[in-house]
Amino acid sequence: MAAAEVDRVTPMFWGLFSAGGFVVAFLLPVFIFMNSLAYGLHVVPWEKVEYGGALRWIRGDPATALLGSTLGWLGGWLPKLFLVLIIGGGLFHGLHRFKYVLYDVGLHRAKKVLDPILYGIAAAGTVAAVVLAFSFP
Amino acid sequence: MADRGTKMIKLRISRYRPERSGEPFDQEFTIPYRDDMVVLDALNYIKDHIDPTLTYRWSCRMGICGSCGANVDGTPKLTCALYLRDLKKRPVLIEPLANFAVLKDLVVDIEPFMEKLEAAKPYIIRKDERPIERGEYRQTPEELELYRQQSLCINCMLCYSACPVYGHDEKFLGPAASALALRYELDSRDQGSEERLAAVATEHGIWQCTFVGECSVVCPKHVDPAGAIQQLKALAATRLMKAMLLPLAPR
Ligand code: SF4
Ligand code: FES
Repeated sequence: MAAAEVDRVTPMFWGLFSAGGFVVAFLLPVFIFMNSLAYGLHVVPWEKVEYGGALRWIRGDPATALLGSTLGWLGGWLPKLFLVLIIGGGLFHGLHRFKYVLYDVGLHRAKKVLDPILYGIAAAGTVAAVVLAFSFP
Repeated sequence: MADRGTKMIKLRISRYRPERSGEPFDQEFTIPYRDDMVVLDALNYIKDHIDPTLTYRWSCRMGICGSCGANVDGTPKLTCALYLRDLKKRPVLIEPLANFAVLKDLVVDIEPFMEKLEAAKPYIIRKDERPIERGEYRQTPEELELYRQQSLCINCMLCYSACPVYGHDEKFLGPAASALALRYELDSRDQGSEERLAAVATEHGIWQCTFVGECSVVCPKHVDPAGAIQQLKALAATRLMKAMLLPLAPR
């Protein structure tokens, strides 16, 4: 076979797919658990999750910060980052997989159209997540 | 020939004889069989007793030479390692490996496969070649263990026959050649990683794999070519990131 050029674009998106999958596999189950069963099982006291409490946490209110006083300022960033990682990682992972599904059912010839559309959706979703997360007061 | 009470089995074999007719056709054979017969035994029985023109490849009869592959009831199999008694459907359908050009009956053209193996640079590449007098490049059992799994490949091509990505694009480097590339990537004696990775981390190389995983399902030697490709992807991706973030760092 003739020597072909090293592909430098696919690995980037594969990296996002792979890292996204890693993040989501670890964080999403926790997220789902903490927002559903955790109350019923009394793992999380419900008062901590009422709106005002959550807001104080997102704001990095030192009283609710997880990391003590010196790293307290991080407290407000963590939940935002968490949301962005979960949404962005999930999108890049999921849409990459979906792309493969489409390839495998015979749309591989539409690569030039599919790739920008699907990764575009992932990127737009991630940007939206960033805007949303950081628009919290 | 067959005693009374001998079990009989019906096989439908895909035939192609370009010297006689352009069209492939199916031919049915009914032969006596015992429980200890494999599909290859049935083919040999037909060739010895019924139709000497039936053409197929085999050599070792013990899952080592990798030459006896065929699609049996639609699944790529080593015919020497598949017992007739384990096949439920009748007639047993025997076809040449899918995704390859058929030369005659069950014999397919292995040339494209050979080219792919070669493209993966399946040999030890040294930057500092030592003179022969200084002896061999030593390796510990642990270092051998790192690539043993990939080195078990017998080049039977079952994985290519099972791969839908190769099925729709013959340019794809494919499972076994990728596993072979990883085998040398993981070899402590090798120094040609950059060159080899560059040869396989291409659009039609490992990046074309959509991780269907059928190759690993059908592989008779548990080489796990699908896993090998993912490992190569991770290697290539991290190396690329490193090159971009730390352009001067050694890779
Ligand atoms: S990887 Fe497995 S299926 Fe593929 S050629 Fe090697 S032994 Fe055969
Ligand atoms: S005859 Fe050698 S592997 Fe089947």
